Order: sequence, then structure tokens, then C-alpha cells
Amino acid sequence: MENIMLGFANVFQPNNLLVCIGGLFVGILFGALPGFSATMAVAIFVPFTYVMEPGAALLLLSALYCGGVFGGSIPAVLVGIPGTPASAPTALEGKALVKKGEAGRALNLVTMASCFGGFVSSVALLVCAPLLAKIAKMVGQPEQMFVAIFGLSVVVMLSQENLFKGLMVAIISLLLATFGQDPVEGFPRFTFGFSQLTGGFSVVPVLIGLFSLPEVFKMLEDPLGKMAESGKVGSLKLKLTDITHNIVNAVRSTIIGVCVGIIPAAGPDIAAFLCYNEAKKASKEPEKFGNGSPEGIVAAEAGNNGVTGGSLIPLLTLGIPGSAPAAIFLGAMIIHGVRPGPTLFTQHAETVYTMIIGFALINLLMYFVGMLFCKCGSLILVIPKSILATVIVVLAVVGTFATNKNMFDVFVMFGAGIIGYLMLRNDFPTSPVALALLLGTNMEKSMSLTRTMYEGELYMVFSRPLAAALAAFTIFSFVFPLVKMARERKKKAAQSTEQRGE
Amino acid sequence: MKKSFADMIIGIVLLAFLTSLAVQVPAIPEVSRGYPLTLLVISYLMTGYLLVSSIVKQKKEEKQETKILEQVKIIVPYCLMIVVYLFLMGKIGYIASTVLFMVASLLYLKLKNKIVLAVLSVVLTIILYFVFTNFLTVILPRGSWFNIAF
Repeated sequence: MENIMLGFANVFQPNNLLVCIGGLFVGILFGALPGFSATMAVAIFVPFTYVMEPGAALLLLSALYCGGVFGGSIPAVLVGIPGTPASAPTALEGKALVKKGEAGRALNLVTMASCFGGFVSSVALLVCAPLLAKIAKMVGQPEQMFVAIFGLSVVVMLSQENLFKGLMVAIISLLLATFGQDPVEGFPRFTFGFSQLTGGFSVVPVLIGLFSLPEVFKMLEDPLGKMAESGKVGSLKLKLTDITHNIVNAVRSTIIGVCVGIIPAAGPDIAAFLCYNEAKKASKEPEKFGNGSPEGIVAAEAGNNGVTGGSLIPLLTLGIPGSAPAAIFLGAMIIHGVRPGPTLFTQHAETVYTMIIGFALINLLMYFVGMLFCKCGSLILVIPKSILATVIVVLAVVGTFATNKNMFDVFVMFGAGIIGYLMLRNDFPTSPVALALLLGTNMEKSMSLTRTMYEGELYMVFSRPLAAALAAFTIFSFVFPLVKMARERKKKAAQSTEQRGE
Repeated sequence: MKKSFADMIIGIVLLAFLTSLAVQVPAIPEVSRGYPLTLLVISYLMTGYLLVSSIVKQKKEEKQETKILEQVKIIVPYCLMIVVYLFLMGKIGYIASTVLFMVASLLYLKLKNKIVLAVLSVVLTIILYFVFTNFLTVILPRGSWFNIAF
């Protein structure tokens, strides 16, 4: 309780409040620009946090993350282009409401539902994370090994469209994570004669390059174009029934969102579609879905913002980043000396509670900042791509330089950007790179120490109940998506055979 | 261009990269070698599979129309512009190189409004300079040929 009060006191300091509001502005802007994302916002702004107190730094990143997820819904409503995949159901309903001249009402619904989902998810984070951390305290080296492997199983879920390429990217990225001194003996490996590589690749420059430059290169394909053309926003007023009819819907969707968020790799997009479907099933007017249903908007938005707090639960307690933004969060936390894991809630209680309480406040502030953006939403989308591309390159270069204050990292960032663009163009997923680089060193260290602990008799690991349970969980998390994919393929094949027969 | 052709090129480049790592393995002491060696072997197997499968696919696949040449014509010069920017940063310092890069980039990307072009290039560069030097205490690169600083 004392830590929670301390968190409240920290969050309400004027500087931290400014950080939250500033972060929300930038995050929403990034989310609102099609092609940009919450991940890109968090990646680019990590270097800006270096001189901040860890608590303030995490508040800024949280505001960018929440703002980015919400911001994607503004173009979804105004122009029917989802800023992020999670806003696709909102785009469907929003577009229909815009046609009826109710763009303002749709935007208000989006903002309210997003804030509600995000706020409840932060309460879930506050309640669940310390409980899970107590269980996580029983974790030793063997368990850590399985936790790292489990974290990597996220790759399987993130790469369902091209599993082989996803796994290949993960394995090669794990190999890249071995560059530099080995974590146990300290012998430098694969340095190619560069002294800068003795400590391995600095993760933040790689992530900045990987998640920002490819979008710039994509913009270059049509530099003269604006992001989109949009109509007028109009009145932002809501009907009373918009609120009264949607309370149960919002609560249900948020709970689904939080649960989806806790599962690694099941991000806001899955939550949005799941909640939208459930709302349609439960609705008294399911025929309105697809034709401008407020219920559809509320469900999708409460669901995808519910994920934000939920996804931080495994990150804070077990150090498993369940998504690309969470992976960058992890990198930033490590830089600030706040290593997620079982001891986080005892060793860095003040910082972590500042972040969690701040997370709740950010979601409340998001309503006011969000409404401001909704009013001038159509203006954001007319910024020429040429300006955006140039500004992003400069921010990425300067931000990367600030990481370790050397130009080598800037060249690494640029190289990562080019590789990221080539990967995107050839259907190689980029998220596994972030996961593998962050989990790689830990995995090697825990594997090596476990081997030493059991003097080569690795099967003895399974005599530890928690390790055995984690191993079973890990195997399940690798196998389940594969079985699911095989079933879906079989189903599709059967359907096509039936169609041919007809 | 055939889609599998790109995979084939990527496979060849990856094989060359993995080989450059493989030649360094004998220099690593045995205690530090096991884990990266295992990953290296798996990487070789996966890259080999990608290469073989892309060769097989290429024979069956039909050519697809892509705008790759047009894209290359725009992106490659822009990448070169970034490389020159990074090189100049160490020679003429952050402020001069960034203003130059922004002007060049906005002109290259055909921004028509020359006032926006000039104001944005100068104002953003200076704002970033002040934010980084005063608030974030990061000394941005100084030029070895000449340097502009406040």
C-alpha cells in the first residue's frame, strides 16, 4: 500500500504529468498516421528517456504506447484506413457512421471506449502483476531457461502467416545475440575486428532502425501523396443511449482484452476482432454491425486498449515481452537498470508502482487529449509524406546517436533499417528479431548455468515441479499454434473440395 | 520478377554471412562455442532449405509484374543521401549536416512549398540541438572540418 501511495505521489509531480501529456500527444500522432505505429513511437523515443528518472522514462513510454494504440482509430473512423490492424473493426463501423454524417459521434465513442478499456486494464495490472510476481519468485536458472524459451514461442504465434520464415529470422537473430562477450566466460565472439562489437549489438539502435526506417522507405514509394483525404468531423456529442446500452459491452470487451493481453503474442488486433465478434453475438441488433453500430466500435476499442495493461503483466513479472512494443519496453527498462522479473516488485517497487499508477492516469488523460485530436483529426492526415519521412530519419539518427554517443550505432541502425525493409518486402516478419535479441543472452546464460548445475544430466531439471510445468507450457505454446494451423488448412482444403464438387 | 527469386538471393547472401561466422568458430574457446555453434548449424540447415525450396519454386512459378525497378530508383539514391549525411555529421558537425540533409531530402521528395522547406529544416534542427544538449545532456557530433555550435 505504501508503494502505491508513493506511486501516486510520483505520478502527480508536475514534471511527470507533463511527460504523460506530451507522450500522449506524440503517441496519438504516431498512431493516427497510417503506416506509423505505437511500436515505432516507443522505439524512436527510447533514447529521449536516457537522462530521465526511470519512473518518468517508463511513464513517457507508457503514454506513447497507449496513445499509439488509441491513435490508430482516428484515421480508421475518418477515412476508413485503420492506423493499426487493431482498428480494422472500428474502421468498418466508423466508415458507416461517417457516411451518415456522424463522424464526431463515432470519434467520441472511440475515445471513451479506449479510455475505459485502458483504465480497467491498468487496474488489472495493479492487482495481478504483484500476485504473479510472488509465484515468479520461485524461479531459478532452469525455470529461467524455460521462461526464455517460452518467450521465444511467441515467434510461432507472431509468424503464423509464414512460420518457416519467422522461425528462421528468430534463429538467426539468436545467433546475432551471441555477438560479443559470452555471458558466462566473457570471451568475445564474432566481433569482425570491431571493438564496438565486444559488448554485442546494442539492442535499441537495432530496434529503432528495424521499426522506423522501413516505414520511411515505404513512404518514398509515393512521396508526393498525403497520408489520406478525410471528411469533416462535425459534432462530437453522444446520445445517452450510447453510454447506457454499452456498459456491459465495454466491461465484457475489456475483460477479454486484458486476458488476451496476458497471452504472449496475442496482441490488440486479436482482441479487437474477438470482442467485436462477441459483441455481435450478444447484441439485440446484430444486423446493425457493419452498418455503423456503436456497439461494434465500443467492443473493438475497449478490447484493443484492454490489451495494453494486460500485455505488461507477463513483461513485468516474468520478463516475457508479448509484443514488439513490449519488447522495446523491456529494452528500455534494462537500460534504466530496472530488470523485469520476480524481484521487480521488491527491488524497484517505487519505479514500478509509479509506472502502473501512471498507466491508469494516462488512460484517463487520454480522453481529453484524444478529444482534442479528434477535433483536428482531419488535419493530421494532410501532412505530406515527404515531411514525415525526413523528420523520422533525422529523429532516428539523432536518437540512436544519443544511445551510446557513437556513430557506429547510427550505422548499425541504418543497416537494420535497410534489412528491415528488405524483410518486409519479402514477407520475413521483423518482430522475432526484437524478441530474440532481447531474450538471447538470458537464454544462453541460463542454459549454461543449468548445465553446470546438473553437470550435464539435464533430464534432472524435470525433478523441479515449476520447471517441469514451465517446460510443458512451453511445449504446448509451440505445438498448439501448429496444430491450429494444420486444422485450419485441413478445413480450407475440405471446403475447396466441396466447392469443386458442387 | 519471380517472388522466389528474391528468396533465392536472400538465401545466398545468408549463406555467405553464416560462412563468415563459421570461419571464426575455431578461434572461440570450447566452453563458449557450443551454443552459437548449435544455432549456426540450425541456421545453415534452414537457409539451405530456403535456398533449395526457392530454386524448386522458381521453376514452377510464373513471372509477376512488380514495380521493383521504380522503387530501387527512388530508394537507393535516398539511402546514399543518408550515408553521405552520416559521413558529413562527423566532418561538419550535427547542425550543418542535418540542415543540409533536410533540405536535400525535402527537395528530393519534391516538397513544393519552399518556405516550409527552409523553415522546417532550420527550426527542427535547432530545436533538436537544444533539446539534446540542454535537456538530455547529449553532446551531438562536432565536425572535424568545421563546426557550428551555440
